[in-house]
Amino acid sequence: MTGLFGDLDDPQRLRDGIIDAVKHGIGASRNDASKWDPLYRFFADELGVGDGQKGGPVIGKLVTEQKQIGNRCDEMAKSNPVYAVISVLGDVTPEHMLNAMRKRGRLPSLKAALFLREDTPVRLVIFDE
Amino acid sequence: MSDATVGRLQTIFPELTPEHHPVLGTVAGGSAASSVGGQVPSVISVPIEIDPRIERMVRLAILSAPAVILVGPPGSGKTTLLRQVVDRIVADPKSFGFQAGPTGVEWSAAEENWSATDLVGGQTIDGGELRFRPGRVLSAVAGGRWLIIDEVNRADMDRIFGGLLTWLSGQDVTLGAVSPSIGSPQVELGWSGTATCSVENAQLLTNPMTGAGPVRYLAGTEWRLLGTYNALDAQRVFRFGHALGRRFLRVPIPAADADKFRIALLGQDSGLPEPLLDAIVAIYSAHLMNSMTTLGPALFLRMADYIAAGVGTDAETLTGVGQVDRELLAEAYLVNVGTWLREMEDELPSLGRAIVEEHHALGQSEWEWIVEMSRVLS
Repeated sequence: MTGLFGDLDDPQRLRDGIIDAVKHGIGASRNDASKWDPLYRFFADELGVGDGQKGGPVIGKLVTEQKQIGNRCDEMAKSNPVYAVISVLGDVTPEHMLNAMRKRGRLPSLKAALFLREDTPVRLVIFDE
Repeated sequence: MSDATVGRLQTIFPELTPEHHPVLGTVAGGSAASSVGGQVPSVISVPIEIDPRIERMVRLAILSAPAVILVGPPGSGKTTLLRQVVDRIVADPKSFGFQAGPTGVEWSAAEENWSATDLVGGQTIDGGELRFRPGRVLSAVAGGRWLIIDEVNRADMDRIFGGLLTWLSGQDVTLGAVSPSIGSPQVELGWSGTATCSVENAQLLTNPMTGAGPVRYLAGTEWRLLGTYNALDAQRVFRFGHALGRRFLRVPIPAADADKFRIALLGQDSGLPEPLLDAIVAIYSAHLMNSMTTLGPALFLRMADYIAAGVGTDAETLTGVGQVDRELLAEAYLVNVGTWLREMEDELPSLGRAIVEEHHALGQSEWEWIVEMSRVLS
């Protein structure tokens, strides 16, 4: 199968595709509304999730400062995602994000969150209990 | 793993050990899976980070005492916080230190005309006969559900709950007879020695002559009576007397500071010009200057929605400094906060000075218009 990021038939290539999409999100300008489009298209094309558009079952988030955590969580809640890919930078940790997500309790459809420290995957949290 | 995509993510990232966590909330439009009965109060969503220490106090208070009340100004997020904490405890009681936790939660919004019969139980006419009818407390205990009373200041809890002071202190109390007939069994309320609730001789409530009784409602050691208490409203309505008040652990839920409020307001992404957002923050800050005028952020966050709605329907162009902007700002303040201004009548002159002269958020004429119009709301 050929996707945006080349031949993506095996886990390593799928992994590279997701990480490349996260790198794109990190490198995009702060106000770029389409910064996560590659991630959405990747999930649609390679994993059959969503239609590749923003507002679908996948959401990408970049959190660079602790003061952004609340807003990022609220933004996620608005689109009620099923899968979240969250990159944290600086002094923000996945635990900070998880605590805020848990505290708000407004992500009832979320099944999994992949956390990355910048572009390195660090935690895979599955919400099924 | 039933979800194929989650399964593939595990395959794609084999170095990550999957962590299984509880789902993050309930589906919109539904209620908590285990919530039953009662009137579910509306929840004002307060998108403001709650101080972790406040949340810890709420959690530990609930774990350590049978009766807990969250106290704070209107719009500070008391109900939202309580709902979130309780939902998490219900979903995973062991993680919060409970053995079994409640079987569910019963929410009630307090009403001024509540009586002891409504809340606790008492004799009432049933099919032409006087019979004991369990109130909210007994029903909740019978079902093993926690009872949560929102805005307890709306009801005269001293009068209603006075008879239960002894019970809240850990003692058994007698609530009355099942019927007025001589020899009718008594109804008692006490505490069981176990985590779970139980009712003994419940059948006597419908057939009082089939046994000697008593009917005993026994709250488990993990049963909880929780509530929220609007400190501002309470100054004008009902206060907790000291005798009742000391039976409750009281957790303060303060209004967020101006910086947190600004972050939340910006996070709403209402598209309003910055001077208007600054003006909303300035009005909120002016209220914070005096404990008698302090209100929570939810009321003020909704001001941006009102102004944004005005832009959408009136096709006006906001500049942040024009007459239309100032009018919409004043209207937004009036419709969201006006009722509460009547509760702080004595403080209005100083509040007006703070808003008009110190923060320059509104003009004097707009302030006077707001005060005049708010009288209609009282």
